[in-house]
Amino acid sequence: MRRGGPRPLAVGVHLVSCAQCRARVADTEEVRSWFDDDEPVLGTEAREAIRFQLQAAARGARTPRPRPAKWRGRIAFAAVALAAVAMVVVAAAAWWPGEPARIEPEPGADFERIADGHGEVVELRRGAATFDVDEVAPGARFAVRVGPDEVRVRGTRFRVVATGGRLGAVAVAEGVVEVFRDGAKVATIRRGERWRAPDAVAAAPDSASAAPSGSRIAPASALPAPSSALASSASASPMDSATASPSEALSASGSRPVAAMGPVGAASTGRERAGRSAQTRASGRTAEPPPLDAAFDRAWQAHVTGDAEGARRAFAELAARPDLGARRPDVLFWLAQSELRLGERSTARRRLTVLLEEHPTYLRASEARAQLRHLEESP
Amino acid sequence: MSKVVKLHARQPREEAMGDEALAHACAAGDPAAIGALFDRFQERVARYAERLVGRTDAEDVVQLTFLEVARGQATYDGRARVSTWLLAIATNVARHQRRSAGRRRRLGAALESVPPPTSGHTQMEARAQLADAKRALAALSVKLREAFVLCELEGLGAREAGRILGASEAAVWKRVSKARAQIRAWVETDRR
Repeated sequence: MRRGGPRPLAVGVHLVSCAQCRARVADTEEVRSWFDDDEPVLGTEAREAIRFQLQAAARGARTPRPRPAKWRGRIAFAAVALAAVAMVVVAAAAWWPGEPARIEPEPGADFERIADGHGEVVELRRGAATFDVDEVAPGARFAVRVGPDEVRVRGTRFRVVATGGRLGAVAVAEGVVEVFRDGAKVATIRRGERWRAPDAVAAAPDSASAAPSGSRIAPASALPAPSSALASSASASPMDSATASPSEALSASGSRPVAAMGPVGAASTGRERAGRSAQTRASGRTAEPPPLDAAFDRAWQAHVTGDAEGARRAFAELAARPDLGARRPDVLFWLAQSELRLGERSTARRRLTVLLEEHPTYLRASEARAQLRHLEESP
Repeated sequence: MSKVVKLHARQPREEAMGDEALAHACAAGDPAAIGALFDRFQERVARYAERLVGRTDAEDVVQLTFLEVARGQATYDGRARVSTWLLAIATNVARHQRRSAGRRRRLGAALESVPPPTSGHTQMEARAQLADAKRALAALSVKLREAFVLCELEGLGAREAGRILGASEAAVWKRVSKARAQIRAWVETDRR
């Protein structure tokens, strides 16, 4: 049986006259034929089990599969080690005075931090921000308030979007949050899930007024690794072609991003320590939003939908912008990927070289290095 | 009087999608797309995994391969065929699997467990030959086995296989040729 399609005519012609090659081909095909096997490798049950787990993973759910006996001992050992580490961490946390919540406002965000003896409330009046909150002590609280709505937190990392003075959307990267609208709890959002008000406008945070009623939770498809905000979730790629999404996005319909999660270090000016006896206020305002996130998401959408030319154009426009800031390495990396797709190897090579020179510790630097090596080895 | 209404099964959108569109939909976190991708490629990935690590561990390799896609840890970027991309992931997963001690020893035994023939002399011969071939494959070094399976049994070109294995085209051909010779020698020695 011949694999890989019909034999080219020229090869066929050569084989007629060359006995040596004929013998080689016969040898190859005979060895191949020894491996013909119609027996299915996976049984129906195994197939269905894997299929179910895949869909659960895609929805962000965690359904651990029973491991073979050989793993049980290792898992038990890991659990004991983890418990010991957790005890040390808890002891250290009890001794340590505690870090306040870290807030990463996106351009245009307008918020106010209000700290009192019971904890802290952030009033998000406009725009979007990402919150990184350490474990909240029993009896204490941390909440983000948008108008009459509220997101209550026990210790997590999440992003909140205010739309028209109301809560527009919430995406949770770690932990669990509870969403309250008009004082009533409407949803509990877990890691990897997102929630948005059904009638909120998708175009941009706070871009239009909304009169939300009800809610909707969408699994956030295991929240893809973002540009630089959640860098720790990056993982090794199977080969140089494997990539991960650059933008953590909330989506109105599950397909169109609202706004990407901002880079770490887009510093808030309103950092306050919680736990004060007197109520204090601090506010943070940033400049009006340039359409950077929207442009980035447009470029990314072009990339994931296979429109290499569109992605290249969009990323190139982004790369020329002076206000890229922490997004620059992402833009350079994905521009290089678009160029590679279009077969522009030398441009991509230069792009990757610049990226590594400028940002040697970038999240995807190792992937970029591997690609560069590959490009240099096979010009 | 009851009325008979003819129902037409609606073809799911994912089934009508091309391989690349399906892979992109998986990157966007569509659970239906990952199910469809699995249905479309599980057999090929499973067969490949079986040849690399044996039947016992093939299920784990298949599961981990598609989980990487479902979790967004590996995203299709259009530079290779979807099947090649999945085989690349499976190759890496199999390499990780293989690192556990004793795996290689167990592999030989696992590959020997070819189901017995149900009836007929020809079928019995074919089974015996398959068992011989699988034992010979298991006896190869990892490098030779990967190259042989990708090029000879999965029908990939040397360039594609080289990208997956991180080797040059010439190196892949060399490995395939060496692997073929070793398999033939093994099988023929067994027959004698």
